[in-house]
Amino acid sequence: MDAFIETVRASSDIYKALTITLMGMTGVFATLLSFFIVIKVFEAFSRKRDKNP
Amino acid sequence: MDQVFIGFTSVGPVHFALYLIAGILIFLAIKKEYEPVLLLPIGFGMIIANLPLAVSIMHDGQPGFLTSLYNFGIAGDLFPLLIFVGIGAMIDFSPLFKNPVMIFFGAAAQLGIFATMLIAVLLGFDLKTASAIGIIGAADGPTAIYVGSKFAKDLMGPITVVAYSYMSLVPVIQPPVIKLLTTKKERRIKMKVHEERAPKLLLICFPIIVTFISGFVAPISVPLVGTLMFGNLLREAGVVDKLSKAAQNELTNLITLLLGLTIGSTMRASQLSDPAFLLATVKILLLGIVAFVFDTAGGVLFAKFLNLFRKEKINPMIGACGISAFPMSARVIQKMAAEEERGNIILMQAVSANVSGQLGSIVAGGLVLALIPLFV
Repeated sequence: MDAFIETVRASSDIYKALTITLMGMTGVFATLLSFFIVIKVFEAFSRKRDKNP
Repeated sequence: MDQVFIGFTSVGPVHFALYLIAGILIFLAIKKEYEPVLLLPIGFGMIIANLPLAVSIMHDGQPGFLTSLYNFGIAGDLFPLLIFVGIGAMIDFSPLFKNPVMIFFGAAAQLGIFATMLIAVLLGFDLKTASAIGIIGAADGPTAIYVGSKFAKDLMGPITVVAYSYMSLVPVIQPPVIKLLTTKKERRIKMKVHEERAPKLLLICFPIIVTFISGFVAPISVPLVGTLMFGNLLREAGVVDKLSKAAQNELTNLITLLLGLTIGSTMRASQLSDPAFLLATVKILLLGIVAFVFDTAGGVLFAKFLNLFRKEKINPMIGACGISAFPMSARVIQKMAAEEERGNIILMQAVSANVSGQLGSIVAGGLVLALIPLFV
């Protein structure tokens, strides 16, 4: 990871911006995916509880 | 004698040009009702910060009240973060819990942030400034101020004004982009409403879990996410209604008032005589449109992509609601849907995507804050 960061640091601003774009969009999707999983887990738990109160 | 007339002799034409700009902002706020709660204090802040001798900025070597407000509220991050407590207390996540898949539009519509950052770099801005300009694409004023205060202090005034101005222009910017990217048939897609209630336990646990996740994924985003989620917990806890209402009303109103005045005071007459600043302001104005266009396009195209795999099709206009401008974007999309086909109600889904946009924008803001120092 350190080598990757050093490589990007040594590159031009546009390459850095592209890297940040890729990492940023992936990060936003991954984080919101984790929120989605939380919602789904609670949904499943609640459905199970409604079936067996 | 000079001392008696110092008020008249210490200002020049650039001061009057700035008073004119401030007057336009106040006019837009009062007459056109464009984001009046912010543009009106900004306009007035510009005036009092640029009156002769600028006593409200610095007097007898001591900081004036506007400088104190700046140091406390903007440099010290308190104003945007306190506003987030209020916004959090206003957000109702239950529509999202009924349509959880809509959460991904909150991610897709952040494309505007990164696309604008790329274009800003191509236009000659350094990476930090470009990222602060890109944050206009979050369509979220407090996030723009928070990131701007970290990466582009000198351009905070234009960035904030552009961010709030374009947020109020969502009804003008989004419809043509949506129409360009979708067919009439797609815009007429009807969607099923999910009636089940969101579990109370989820409403309470969600803000806590989100804060933990964000804290581990991007620790630097905790002030943004933590304050928003704290406000939301006040709302959902059900035992501190007075605090929740105070956060939604008194706290938000008071901080918005101080924030506007302070942001206005960052715009000085001396900047108007600096051609580099003027050019940067013009570029920011143009990049603001780029940000909102890419936000809208990102959400709409992602919805079309999802439809390739889904049996139950999503009206792609919903994707455009993945921005943080709440509830304006959802209203615009519902209006468009009703215009395309009478009786087509997609408001619930649009609100779900719009709420996700608020989550997505602070997550994106946090990631920008984390990634930029890593590579610069």
